[in-house]
Amino acid sequence: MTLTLKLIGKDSVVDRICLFTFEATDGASLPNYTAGAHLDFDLGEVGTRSYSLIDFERRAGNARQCQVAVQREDKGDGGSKAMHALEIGDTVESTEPKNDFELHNDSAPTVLIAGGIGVTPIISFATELQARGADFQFHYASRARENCAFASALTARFGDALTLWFDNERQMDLKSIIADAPAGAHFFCCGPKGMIEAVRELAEAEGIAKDHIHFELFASPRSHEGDKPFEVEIADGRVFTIPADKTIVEVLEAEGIDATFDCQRGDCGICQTKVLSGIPDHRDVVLSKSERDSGKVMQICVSRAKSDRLKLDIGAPARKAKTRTAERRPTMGNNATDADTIRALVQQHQVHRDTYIDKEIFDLEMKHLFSNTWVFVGHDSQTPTQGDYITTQIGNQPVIMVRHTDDQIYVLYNRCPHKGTKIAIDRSGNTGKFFRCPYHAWSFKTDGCLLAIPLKKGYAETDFEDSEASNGLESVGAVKNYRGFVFARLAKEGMSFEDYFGDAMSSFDNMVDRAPAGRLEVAGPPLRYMHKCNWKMLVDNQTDTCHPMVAHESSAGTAVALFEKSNWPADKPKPMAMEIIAPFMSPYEFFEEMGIRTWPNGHGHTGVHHSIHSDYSQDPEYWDALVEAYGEEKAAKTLGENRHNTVYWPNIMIKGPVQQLRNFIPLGPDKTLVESYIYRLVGAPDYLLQRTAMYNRLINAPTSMVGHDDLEMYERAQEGLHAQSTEWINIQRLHTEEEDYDEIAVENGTTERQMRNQMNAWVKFMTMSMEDPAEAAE
Amino acid sequence: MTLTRDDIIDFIYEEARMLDEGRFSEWLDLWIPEGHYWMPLDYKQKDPDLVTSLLYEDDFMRRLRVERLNGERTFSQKPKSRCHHVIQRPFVDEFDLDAGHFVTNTSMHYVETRLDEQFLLAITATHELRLVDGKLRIANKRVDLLNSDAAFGNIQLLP
Repeated sequence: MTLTLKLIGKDSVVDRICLFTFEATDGASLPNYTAGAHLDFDLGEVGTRSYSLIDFERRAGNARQCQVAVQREDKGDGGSKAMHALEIGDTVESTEPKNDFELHNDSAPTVLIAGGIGVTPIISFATELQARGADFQFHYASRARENCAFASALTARFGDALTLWFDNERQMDLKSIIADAPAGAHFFCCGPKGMIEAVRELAEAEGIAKDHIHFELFASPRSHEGDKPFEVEIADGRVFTIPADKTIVEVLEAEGIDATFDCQRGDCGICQTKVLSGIPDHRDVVLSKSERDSGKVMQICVSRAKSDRLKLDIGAPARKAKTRTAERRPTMGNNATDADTIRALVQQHQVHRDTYIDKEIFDLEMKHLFSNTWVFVGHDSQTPTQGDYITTQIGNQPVIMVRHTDDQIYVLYNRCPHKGTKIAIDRSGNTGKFFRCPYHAWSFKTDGCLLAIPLKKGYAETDFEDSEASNGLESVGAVKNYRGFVFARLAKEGMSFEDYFGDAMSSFDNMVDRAPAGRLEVAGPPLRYMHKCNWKMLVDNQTDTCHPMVAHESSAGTAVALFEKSNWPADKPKPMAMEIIAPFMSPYEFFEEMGIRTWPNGHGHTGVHHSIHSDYSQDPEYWDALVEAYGEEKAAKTLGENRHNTVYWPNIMIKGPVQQLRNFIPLGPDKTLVESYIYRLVGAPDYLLQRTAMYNRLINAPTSMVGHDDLEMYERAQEGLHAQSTEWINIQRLHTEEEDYDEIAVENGTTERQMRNQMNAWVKFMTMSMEDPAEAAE
Repeated sequence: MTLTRDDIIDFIYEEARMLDEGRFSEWLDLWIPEGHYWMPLDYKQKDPDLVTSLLYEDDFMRRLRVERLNGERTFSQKPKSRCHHVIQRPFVDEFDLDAGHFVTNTSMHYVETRLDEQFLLAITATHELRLVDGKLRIANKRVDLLNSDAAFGNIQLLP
């Protein structure tokens, strides 16, 4: 029988967890049930989801209300989100209560073990055991105090029987819990898979009888309790039964039917199959709403059937590829500086390949783009005392960043005004109060002014003071030190720093605000990784959220698989490396929902709502230091913002949550040097820097597996672009006609809008200082 | 049987040969699980932990690296890289038979190749070896590249 339930209460319990109170619609009482029971809710297009019923009071007969608690899983497949979308007064259908997790009825003591939201059936058990006056212990693990649902209610109710455990303070000691349990006890555990496996292993090792160990696995994202067998009929008329625990693909494979599939997670779209009859139960993230509603196609690797039988179009001949007419770009003539020619290289949805492979275009980038934009130079902690300098380049221009005697940072062209000799070639050093050219000993103050020339009388009668050489080392057009990060604009005239970056600096603010002392310090030299590809490929990749689960399957996917095989004890903290690398395998939906924000002038970031950095473990000592420095509200706000990659056009990316900056230094149309810096949060414990350093070597090093994955793709693309096929690079994903890049926008995390935003800025700053053909003609 | 300096030296040669022949699973078994494979980024770097290194790999990361090399979708290993060590006779810097503890210092030229590319690294490897159940095992290995601060392309195998 189906129940129609009306939502009469929806109370937020802790972050992402809501308590839902339902009532029978017709004023009738609900069927009775025992502790541990659940309801299967029909959530429309996302399918059926099971949630355990919670009873804080022993259930009386003929009750009219029931409660479930649901944690919103942003990485999940939509069930929990559909629940959270319910409003008071909404009705939802469910099955009658079912119980696959019954409490024992003998007088033996009981040990209840709950992890996270798996606490829901355990609460009902505790309520029941307390009412029976039975002997029980209730252990409940949460990631942190603030994630622990119902903590105060449970403490008030169960007192000494309850022990709360927090991963970030004192991890649940399963070994002792099980070893010290009263003789003959029953164990009931509900929580994540790792916890259940650990309990099972430890209990078996203690010699506890199997019939005294009871489990309910919480959350299996794409297979659901209540899945039923159904039949699939294929084109040749053969019919196969798909059991509840197997997918269509698995059965067809086993039967020798040639099905085309790949991810087996419902996100790649390769196994999409036409439905000729029957009603699919969609569980993928590939199909659009209208495709789902049509019921005409399905992803057979995860989706099932609502009807008893599906007739599928398997074995139909492949569609013939469409042929298109190639579109060629206007030929670059001899007037390469012609702004119109530059504009013609960038269309809304595609970019001409010459922007990535052509030497002439590259030279124009160096001359115009890297002159008109604000480019990262270094961090002021690299030059902490007067006379300290580093050498680097802005575009292809060699510069020195130096701390002058007024304690300010100056950025000077690294070229002696005399013969052109580079004044400094060490990557860093201290020059004292002045620079001295090693060739003829011309000397310069650290703000660039000419200090002295040996045998200066030789210039006495030469009008030397009118020559450019007398100006000393030339400063770049403008310099800005923003909270320690030094940027420069080569052009003497141009856009101000504030106009150029605007709100985009919020990502830098977040990174610096993570330091209890409010400043960062560079930690050691950068990784230096040579890429045989265009610098923009690296910039594009920073907000390319559709590549990690594909290109990094080799590293991150293997890591996840290896870890699963390793039988890692649930009570042992995950290796830090896994915390870093595993989120790269998050499904498309995770990246879609993380969001992308774009700012004017080519800046943008992924991870508006959450990111691959959101679930990093935190250190209580760090939290305390941050609260002391900024107060709880600001500390929580800072740590709650977990932006993924922020691109500062043209050529850097930062990661606030891990304090990294990657500088994509252009060396040629097909050559880019990537320098990856890490920073210490001044006033924070070493633990954070340890993770930051690990992230750098695992992801950004020339010896890093993730780096190998990416570089392989860039270099293949750099070569492939030369093919005499289409001349255009497609950046069309989620493009709309109304896009205005002068506006800040937040969109679906898989949009290529940021790449379009970048190329829009590319045109803007390339042409800014070019001769306008119309004016030139006058 | 008593362990001699030659046994220590043979072990270092045998390890290099394993890597060159791509016997990575066997190579994993040479390690004691707690050991780290460290390749510093900075010249004479002291700290593996709070500044960046090129590699600082524990048992899990070593296994992941080897597993990935064999992966079906490891595109940067299609085709596979090959490597070659030319090693100079190791110095046995510490030889403590009673404690079962040995340290060697070995100069090597390491060549790695894939497709038409080939590069050479001059390296110094420092091995800390231990005797476990009568067998030599790598307790820690540090590989210093002569040009560790240079910009590299992919280094995909194990110098």
